Amino acid sequence: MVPNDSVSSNLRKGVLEYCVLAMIGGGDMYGLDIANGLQRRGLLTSEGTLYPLLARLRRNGLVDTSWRESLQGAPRRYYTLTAAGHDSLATFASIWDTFSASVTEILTSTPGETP
Amino acid sequence: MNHDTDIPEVRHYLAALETRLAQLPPEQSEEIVFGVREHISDALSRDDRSLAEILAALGTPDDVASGLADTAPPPPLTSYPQPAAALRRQSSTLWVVATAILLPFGAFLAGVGWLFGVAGLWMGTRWRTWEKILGTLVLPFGVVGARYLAFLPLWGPLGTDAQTSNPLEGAVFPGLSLGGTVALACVPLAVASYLLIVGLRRTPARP
Repeated sequence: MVPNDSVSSNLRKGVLEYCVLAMIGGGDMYGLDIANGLQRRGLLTSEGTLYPLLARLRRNGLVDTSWRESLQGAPRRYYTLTAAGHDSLATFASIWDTFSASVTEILTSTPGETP
Repeated sequence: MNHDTDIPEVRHYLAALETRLAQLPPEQSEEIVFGVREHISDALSRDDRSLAEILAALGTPDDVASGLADTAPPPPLTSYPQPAAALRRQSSTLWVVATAILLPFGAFLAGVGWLFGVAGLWMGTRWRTWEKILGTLVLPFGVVGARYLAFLPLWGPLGTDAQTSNPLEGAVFPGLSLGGTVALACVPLAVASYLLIVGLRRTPARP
């Protein structure tokens, strides 16, 4: 029997960076907001692990950063999706549609039936 | 923003995280530590959570460092030829040592060795930006620069009438005692020693 934690952890690892890209693509965000959004959806077990991921996305040119004043007054570093980030997200989204539909179809098929 | 992160628990957490990330190039570890610091500061100013809850939600420094393994591309097989970047990194221990020697003593090498030391410092990957600035500005031309600084008076405001007054009057360093001179010469040595130690400590782990 495969532990639930292991299954969800492996799935999270595969999709987390695209979830981050999708969140940033919905509007520029700063670190704490991204972490809270992922945590709320159960996609992040430790908020701190977000920052190595963000650093890698920026190094790979998928996101960019800029400083802006916040309502609290202190400037914050906001993350923006780059053109390469949009492309990467679009590619993932098209693969994910097919992938998730196939998995759902198999999981919901009647035993013995050839999907 | 950083006032919140001056709290001892936060400083301790960030220092531990920095240690866990020591195998990364300084630019990468700085970026991650900066993000975590900003996260803590934002959470303290915005959330209702206590500091303990914020740090617990971040995970331990080991948890954060494990994010590198979760998100990094798989490492190359060791049987493959090492990429040029890896070879350059392996040889950079010599680079660190040579830079740490050239900065204080390079000026003795036809006067230009110090410039090579500065070039090595800025082209090196094991020092942070502020450390590179420190190594460049304290003191230019190393021990030779310290010697000149000790013995050559630096003149005060423009307009000092050198013909009618004692040339040493108004000097910023009107002459240092022997102890002061030795102390001044030790400054570039201390900076070079610091750069050597941190540079060697940041040696990437061998595959």
